[in-house]
Amino acid sequence: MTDARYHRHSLIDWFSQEALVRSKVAVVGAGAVGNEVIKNLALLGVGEIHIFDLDNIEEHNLTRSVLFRDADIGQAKATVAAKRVMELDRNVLATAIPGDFWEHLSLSELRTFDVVFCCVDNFEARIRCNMLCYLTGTDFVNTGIDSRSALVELYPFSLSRMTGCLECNLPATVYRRIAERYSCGYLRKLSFVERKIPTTIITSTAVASLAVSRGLRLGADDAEPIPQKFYMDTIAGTLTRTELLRADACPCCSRLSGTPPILWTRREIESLSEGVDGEATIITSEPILVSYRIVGEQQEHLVFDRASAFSSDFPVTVASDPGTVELEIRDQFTLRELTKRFSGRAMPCKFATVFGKAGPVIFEFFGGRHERGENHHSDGRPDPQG
Amino acid sequence: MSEVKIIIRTADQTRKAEVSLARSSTGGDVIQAAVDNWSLPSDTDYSLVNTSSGKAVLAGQALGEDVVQDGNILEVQPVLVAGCWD
Repeated sequence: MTDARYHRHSLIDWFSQEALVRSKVAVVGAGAVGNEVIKNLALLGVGEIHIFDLDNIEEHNLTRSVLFRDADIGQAKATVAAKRVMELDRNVLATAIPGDFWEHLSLSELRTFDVVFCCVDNFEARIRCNMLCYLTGTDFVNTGIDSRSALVELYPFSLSRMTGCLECNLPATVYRRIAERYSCGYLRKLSFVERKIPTTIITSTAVASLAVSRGLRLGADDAEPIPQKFYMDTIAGTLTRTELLRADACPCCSRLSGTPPILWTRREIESLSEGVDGEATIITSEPILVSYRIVGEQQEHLVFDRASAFSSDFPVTVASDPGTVELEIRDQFTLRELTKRFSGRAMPCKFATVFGKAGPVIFEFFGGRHERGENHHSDGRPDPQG
Repeated sequence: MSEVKIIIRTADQTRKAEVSLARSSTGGDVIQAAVDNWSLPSDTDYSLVNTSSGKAVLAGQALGEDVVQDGNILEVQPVLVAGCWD
């Protein structure tokens, strides 16, 4: 870092360049909003930026993506964004993780981040991102835009996990809309067509400025533990600031009051050890397609894999008449059932929460692939040590 | 039954109405009435905020005296979902 580069920052009495250089942030989604968030973080001189995105660049992204060029079309968004960060400021370490953050970001790694900026385009990813940040006590910034408005929600989980989360404030219609994308509750509908929401760089820029400013707590001496929402109408020029609430029946935080410990374990299921409470309930982080049975046949076919790995076409692949296929899809088991019925198999979910007599404990299973992220140094080439 | 007299408006402030509602009405009732009466897009999700108190009003929350006062302005805001791949 050179003094000249950050000289103008140093003239601001409430601005700490040293704090920004020490910061480590994650950006989930490197699309329209993600580009603007990443650009702001890089120009501010934030120390480490980890960029998660599973998509490749398409031509229509170029009207709203300051980090992408024509020549980048077809390349991974996360990789290109990380390279461009290094061009903006060689002091910033950018790590690209081209893939699904749910697969690549472990709870132990998430704990090392100061804040996560969620810049995705769907509620499922937002709900998952909120849950991971809630469990690890990591500050969570949710963003959303349309063609005229910008939304920023701040959840300071590092200060308090008792004041509400994203799901506390989601209307029920969101869950109905999510359900429309699935068959039998959990299998992806192949015929579902996503609604495309038109946006411009104007709302992307507006939301990213507010998100980064509030997410990094710039100029805020006393951070408040209360979740807040900022809603900006870029045409009317209005901005409302609202305190968000905690809902007693929240699907996320009402299940887990307090701060349950997080332990790491192998995926393989073994027999029940002596002294372990076999009746303890286990809730998996995602629904599991346990088995299927064809009506009229006695045999049960064990699958035991994530339901999200299968589409609504699955019954057609196992029977000539899909109407005769009965699926067992669950996210709740007892420890005894798990060890007896699935011994020798691997837990297919990201983590599971065990509700025993001593209270809930979260078990995360080995196999996170975040370490495969690509670091980029000042010459823009991937760092083999990354 | 006690009532509360409030102003309801959309976030872009193109729709606005002064209404009297039973205290037993919920935030969800207010949103549904706004969607129905103003023909707001049905493929969008909405939340409700009390701009006078600066606090959110949850869908299941009744408009009790600790939540809404006479003359308060309740704003129906879309829950914005775009941001990445659109």
